[in-house]
Amino acid sequence: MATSSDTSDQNVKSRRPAESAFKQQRLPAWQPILTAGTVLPTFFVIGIAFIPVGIGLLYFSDEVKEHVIDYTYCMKEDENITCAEYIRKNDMNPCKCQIEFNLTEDFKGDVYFYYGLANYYQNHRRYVKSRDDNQLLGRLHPNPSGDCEPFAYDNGVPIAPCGAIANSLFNDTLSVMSREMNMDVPVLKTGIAWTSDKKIKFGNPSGDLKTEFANFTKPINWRRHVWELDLNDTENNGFMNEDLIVWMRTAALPTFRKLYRRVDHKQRGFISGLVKGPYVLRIDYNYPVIDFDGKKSFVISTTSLLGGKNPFLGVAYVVVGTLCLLLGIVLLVIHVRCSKSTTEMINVNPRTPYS
Amino acid sequence: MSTEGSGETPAAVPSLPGAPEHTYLFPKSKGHSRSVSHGGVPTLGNPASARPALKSAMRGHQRALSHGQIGEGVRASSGPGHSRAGSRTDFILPPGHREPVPASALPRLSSVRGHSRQASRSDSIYTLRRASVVAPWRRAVFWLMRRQQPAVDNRHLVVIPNHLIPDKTPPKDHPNGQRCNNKVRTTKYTLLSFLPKNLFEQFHRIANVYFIFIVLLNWVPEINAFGKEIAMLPVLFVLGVTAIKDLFEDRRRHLSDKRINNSFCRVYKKSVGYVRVKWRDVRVGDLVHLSNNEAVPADMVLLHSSNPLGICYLDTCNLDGETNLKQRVVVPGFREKRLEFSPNKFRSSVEVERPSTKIYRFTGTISHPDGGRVPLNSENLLLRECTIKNTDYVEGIVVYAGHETKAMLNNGGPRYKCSKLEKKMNTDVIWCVLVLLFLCCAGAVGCKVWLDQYKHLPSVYAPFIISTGTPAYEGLIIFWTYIIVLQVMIPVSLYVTIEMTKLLQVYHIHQDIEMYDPITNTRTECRALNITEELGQISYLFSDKTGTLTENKMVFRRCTVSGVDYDHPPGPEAEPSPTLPPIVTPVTKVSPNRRLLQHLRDSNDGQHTQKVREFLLILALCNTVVVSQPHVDDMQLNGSDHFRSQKAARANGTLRSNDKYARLTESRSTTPSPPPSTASPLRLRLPKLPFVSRDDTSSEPSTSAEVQIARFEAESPDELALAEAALAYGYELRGRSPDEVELGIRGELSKLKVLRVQEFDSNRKCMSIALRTPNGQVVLYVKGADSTVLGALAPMRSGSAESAAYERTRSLLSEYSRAGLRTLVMAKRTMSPALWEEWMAGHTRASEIGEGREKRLRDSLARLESALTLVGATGVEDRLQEAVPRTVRALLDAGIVIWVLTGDKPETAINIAYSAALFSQSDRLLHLMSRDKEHAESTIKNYLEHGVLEAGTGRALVVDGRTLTYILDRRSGLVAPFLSLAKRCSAVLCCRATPLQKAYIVKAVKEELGVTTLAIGDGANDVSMIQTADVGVGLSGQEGRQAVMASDFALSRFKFVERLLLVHGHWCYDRLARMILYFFLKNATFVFLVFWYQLYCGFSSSVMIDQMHLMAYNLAFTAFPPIVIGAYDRVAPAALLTERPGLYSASRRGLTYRAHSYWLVLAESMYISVVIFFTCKYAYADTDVDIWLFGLCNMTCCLVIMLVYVAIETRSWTVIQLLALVGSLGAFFVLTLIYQTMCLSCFRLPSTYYVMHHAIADPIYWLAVILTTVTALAPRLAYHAARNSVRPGALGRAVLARRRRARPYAAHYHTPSASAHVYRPTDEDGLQKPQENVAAIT
Repeated sequence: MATSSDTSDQNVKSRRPAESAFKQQRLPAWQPILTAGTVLPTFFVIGIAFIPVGIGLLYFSDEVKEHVIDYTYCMKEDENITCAEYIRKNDMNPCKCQIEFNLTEDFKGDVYFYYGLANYYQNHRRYVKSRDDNQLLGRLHPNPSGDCEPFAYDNGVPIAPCGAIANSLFNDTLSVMSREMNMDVPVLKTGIAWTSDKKIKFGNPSGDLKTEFANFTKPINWRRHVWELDLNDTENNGFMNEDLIVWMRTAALPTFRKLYRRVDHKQRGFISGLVKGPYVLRIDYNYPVIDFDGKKSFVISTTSLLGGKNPFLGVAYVVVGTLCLLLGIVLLVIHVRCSKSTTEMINVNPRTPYS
Repeated sequence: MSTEGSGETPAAVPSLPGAPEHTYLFPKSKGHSRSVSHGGVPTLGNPASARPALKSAMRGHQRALSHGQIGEGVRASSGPGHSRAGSRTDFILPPGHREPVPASALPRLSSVRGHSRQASRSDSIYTLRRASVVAPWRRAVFWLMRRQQPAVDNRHLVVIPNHLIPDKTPPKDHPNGQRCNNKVRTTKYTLLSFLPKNLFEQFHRIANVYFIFIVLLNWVPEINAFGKEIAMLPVLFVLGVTAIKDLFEDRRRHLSDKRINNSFCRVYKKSVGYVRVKWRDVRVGDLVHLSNNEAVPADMVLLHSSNPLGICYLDTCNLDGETNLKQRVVVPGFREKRLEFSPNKFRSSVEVERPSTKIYRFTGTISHPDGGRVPLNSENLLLRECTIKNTDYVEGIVVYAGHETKAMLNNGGPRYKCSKLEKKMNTDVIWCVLVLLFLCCAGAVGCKVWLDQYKHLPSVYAPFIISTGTPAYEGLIIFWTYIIVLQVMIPVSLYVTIEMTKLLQVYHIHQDIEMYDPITNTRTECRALNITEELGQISYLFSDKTGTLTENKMVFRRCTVSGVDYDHPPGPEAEPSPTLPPIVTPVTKVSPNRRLLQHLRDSNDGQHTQKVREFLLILALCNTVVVSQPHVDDMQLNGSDHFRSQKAARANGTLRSNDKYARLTESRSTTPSPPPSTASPLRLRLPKLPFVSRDDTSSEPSTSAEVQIARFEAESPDELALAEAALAYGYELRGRSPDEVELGIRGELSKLKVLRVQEFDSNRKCMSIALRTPNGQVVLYVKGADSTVLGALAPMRSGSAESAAYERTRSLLSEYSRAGLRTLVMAKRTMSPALWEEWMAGHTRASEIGEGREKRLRDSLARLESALTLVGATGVEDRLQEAVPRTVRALLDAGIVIWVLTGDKPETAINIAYSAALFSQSDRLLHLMSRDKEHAESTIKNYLEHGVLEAGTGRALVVDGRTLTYILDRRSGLVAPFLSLAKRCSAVLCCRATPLQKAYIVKAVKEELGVTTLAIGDGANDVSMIQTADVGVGLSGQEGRQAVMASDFALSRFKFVERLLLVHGHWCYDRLARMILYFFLKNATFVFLVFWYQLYCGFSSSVMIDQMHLMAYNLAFTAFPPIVIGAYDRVAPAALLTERPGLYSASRRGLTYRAHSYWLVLAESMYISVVIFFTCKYAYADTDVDIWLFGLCNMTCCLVIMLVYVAIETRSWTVIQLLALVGSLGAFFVLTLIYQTMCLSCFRLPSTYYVMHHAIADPIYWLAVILTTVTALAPRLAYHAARNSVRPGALGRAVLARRRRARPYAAHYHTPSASAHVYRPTDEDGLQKPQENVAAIT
């Protein structure tokens, strides 16, 4: 659009572009050329670094002592029926069973009890969503979040905690008895959840839990109300119950473990860990899994710098490190064989046609 | 300015037969049915469809309207609405082209451009137009419209002066009420319409529609996979960014509109006189008064000028960019009334044609109350946005206002083209969609199968299945959920990123100092913002010759008079010969030839002296050079009438007065055209003539000024050169008015009575001027191309001196041509006054409006310019532009086939081609110059069978215009053989090509060979070629800015093409291609990652990655590295790319982004995602990892790998790359930490509180990140290294060789450690920038 004032300045003002390195795209640049010669040190360095790391990881993994007991089909005490069958037939009646096992090594250091589930899709989309974080913060509302459906109301009464995750809370009771000492291994129920979860993400309504939850009902599958989860420890009761918190942190994969108990190493006889010897795993078998081909297991494990026993990373590091070394060697061969031809390129005439 | 010009016919023409007489009173019917006179039936042809087409163009803001270069037919074919891509590139052959060429028409068709480039005057020949093909739907529309207004004639509009109409007339009854007002709005949006309209436009992008669809899908309760609100974020972001960009652009237009609409001008109001009125309130029918240097508010017919001769000068710089002044003439009949013209006595009505885009074309009639009718043409029209110059004041009646003005109709917007790369990308985006659909289907089927295994169990209890329906139904639902979940596959942000990247690319091209021309003070200008990468893919370059390869600064070199050759060799600029007393002291490059000077004064042959004098007279006279003078104006803008008292004293328009530029400071409302810095016109020192006699010497300011500067302004440099040459011999053109030329002849002033000037047009290829000699005879001087003028010579007796001179002239002409000179022939004809009058009468009849007017005019002019006597000929040199041979050689080395399309003669053109290094001495020239179709065909066949088989030597093809006519005729079927012949030649030269042929050739090559073409030119005759090519480059040269206006890139010198293509084109293509591939890679990797997870979550469309990360992955964490690749990575230093043009082939052949590239990327992304996912899965197996921590690990691996990938792919590391990569990674950790600390439960998303805190404390997390990064990228790194060592590409070799050259010792070390360190602190560009520059930037 042109009234004329647009043109007036042109002659006065030089339109010469500024000669800044940025505008002229002449910023100091490093132009690496990835040739065999330049890249192969990288591969050697990686290979040389990875293999020891991998070996270290394998060592750490090996240090970890782990004992896994699959108790899916454990037999009901005194009866010739698996607890799994029993609870299926008897409509979730409690079933007790026990499994004898023998620790062949001393479990030194901190010992943890896990329960493991297999073929259990805690990461199913609808399942993961089926919770009300607001409610779990202790902010009770007569209308739980719609995400909880169809586990939001029981006969019109809102459920606390609502949702499918809470409803399917793992409710087997597991305890380990040392035959040698003839006493249960002392365990701690707390300290098994993330502190951030315990302190901030989950909370109880202030006041007496029973009255606060008076207008709410328990999840359908539960036997107890939420305020009855741990009557001995108010800090571990209600939404702040760590078993609940741990369960609510949905697992990533269909085969997973969850921390169940910590061995209390303050107790006499367990200060250095679990000594080797015969033990009995006693189970209050409540949780049905065989319907969906699930498996339940109990895991006793020590821990290392890297957590539990998992040789994968160690093996992977060693393998990848080796492969890198091999690649490095291949590149070295290439470099030695081709460097002659590349030196010849110096003599290439600038006018030599390129393809 | 047109061939049909009859503007000076003083007599009123009789009313056309059949046309109703009409008066200035209110006509009853709006359109008054002129159609009756044309058979009564409204035709469906062009004029009829023009109206609807125009309407649609107005409504939809179609930006395709160009400068009269595209006919309505083309526009009509593009529908209404917002087709911004526009029909600029539409190319429709005119129907005439399909017709067989009649033999008699051949000379015309094989048109020679001849000397003058003023061909731009008549736009029609350069207009690619479809004349009468009307689309069926348009017929229907027309039919509907006809039903609504059955009797309306679409041909003409009548303008009644507004002061004749009662003030209170409602607009409905107002005769001009239906016309649009002068308020212009170039904005696309109003305040109200912005949101809906902008959104609507954005939704034309299919990607945006897709994403809106996904957002909507997310609101379906059954499906909703994401937080509903948060899922809108990406779309809103993209839409928002685009909307803000549009808003700013529109705001700029709005402000400019406002400024223009609110400028003032003076409009005549009944009983008040002239009053100040805002531009926007000017109406059709208003009488407007304009002072010197004021801009014209609307298209108006000139009724009155202060100039006694009834002319005024117009600066059309704002309209077409041409800086020379155009002359406009008062409507015939009014000039005589000059003294008594007063607005209140003006009672005539004006009949004009419908508004059209043709700037140089206008017809109309003015009807006086007494029944007299005077035809109007474009010489009477003042165009909006032009500026009045050298004239005290003018008055005129507005005939077109606002959006109907030619300026507005020609107001084209930015150009949108789709590059090849982008087209390829779009197909790959479609593949993305298909891949996405495949994944979704796989997921849906998987979901059903997974659910089925639970269904067959009796009394299933699976706590994690919250079933709502049958597995099949679930599968269906999950399909849609997958579409939401995997949406990242379609790169929504890709389009925004590309746009931003291209803006940066354009910015840097614009800033490139090496493409800045200090002489003209112009930078390279990117007018099309989105085809930068196309510059890297050019295979065929079509170049104009004159003004493009050459300077278009013509230097007079040779001339011949009656067969006597006079040479003017280049030398130092000489002082004029002391032997002649010049009136002026000309500053001219021509040093007079002594022999000519001698012959001018006296020769042995008196007749020859006479001839020489006549020859010089023709040089000085027979042109359209305007002597531009400074001007004085003391008009007040307040609109009062007091100036009338002064006007008689100031009516001195043609006189030289003060320095034009010294007056600038005083001019109020407008700005003058730029001083003659670019055109470097002739500057004359003009002392006052002692013998000048004027009646108003008192007001002649030049008495005080000893030396003044005037300048010649010519429409073509050829004319300038000739006028300059005449000046060197003392023939000085001093001033020009329509009927008089003031000439200084060897120190004496003489005034010559001009009867008529037939301006140059490229059909006739000549111009002529008719003078009345003192003895009453009429002399016609003709100047034109040899093909025209020599053909129109009167028959000569063989053996006569005349015929000998003719023969000698002919041979000299071909000698001139061989020397690369542009030749012109001068001739004369003496007529008796009676003959002249007879011709004049015939011509006036011919110029009446009506069918076949053009042809009648052509014939009439041909009758006039015949039976000529040869006077002489000239040879004008057009020097090659600086560095042209080097540039051409570089482009040829780059594998670009160069076609030079010129209107020059073959001899001239071939000569230039050799000197421009287009042809090398070793090339074999293949000539295609046929006089008939069969010969052309057989020659091509012959060459194809024998000529091109021999290998070894280069080949170059020379075609002439006539042969092109046969070849381009569609029905000859010669195009394909011709192109296959041309394909085997490294350079092609087309001589005598017309502008349309140029465009056809470009079109044929583009379509038949499927290559990317670039057309470069500087003149209006290159416009159609520029618009046809994939990339149009305009040179802002000597011939105005029409080519620039139509171009995608505007350069100031031809040599910049080298850098534009070889460096910027290569860079832009390579950068963009790699950026797009990278974009696909990062998105596909991410999607596959999520998909692998589905195998472990029961195909439930569960996503392990935090939803914030899902959104931010594209919008934030990986947003900058692609832009940095796209805008700043350098595949090779600029110096290397120019040093070795051959490297261009990598980008020309599109080696970076090939057909299979997408699938390689997909495969690589699959590999990377497998590595990431399964490493994470096994690393976290048998642990109590939760879904979010697991997802975070995946996400981090993915992000780190994508950033390291960029690092590997980066060819040139600068601070920018470093910042982008480190910044992106840092932003990821910092933002995630902040978000996961602050946000307990935000946006109703699943809470990922403190996940990052736990992750970074977990060694597995870090070990997994490192392991995956190495595993995923080691193959790529090794492949790069191996390929660069074993079989490096041309580019790699060049870069390596350069590196070794820079460090000669390095070549001697072969140990790995020696070459391990590739880092060198100095700049590899060889530019040796000191380090402190970094600091200066950062």
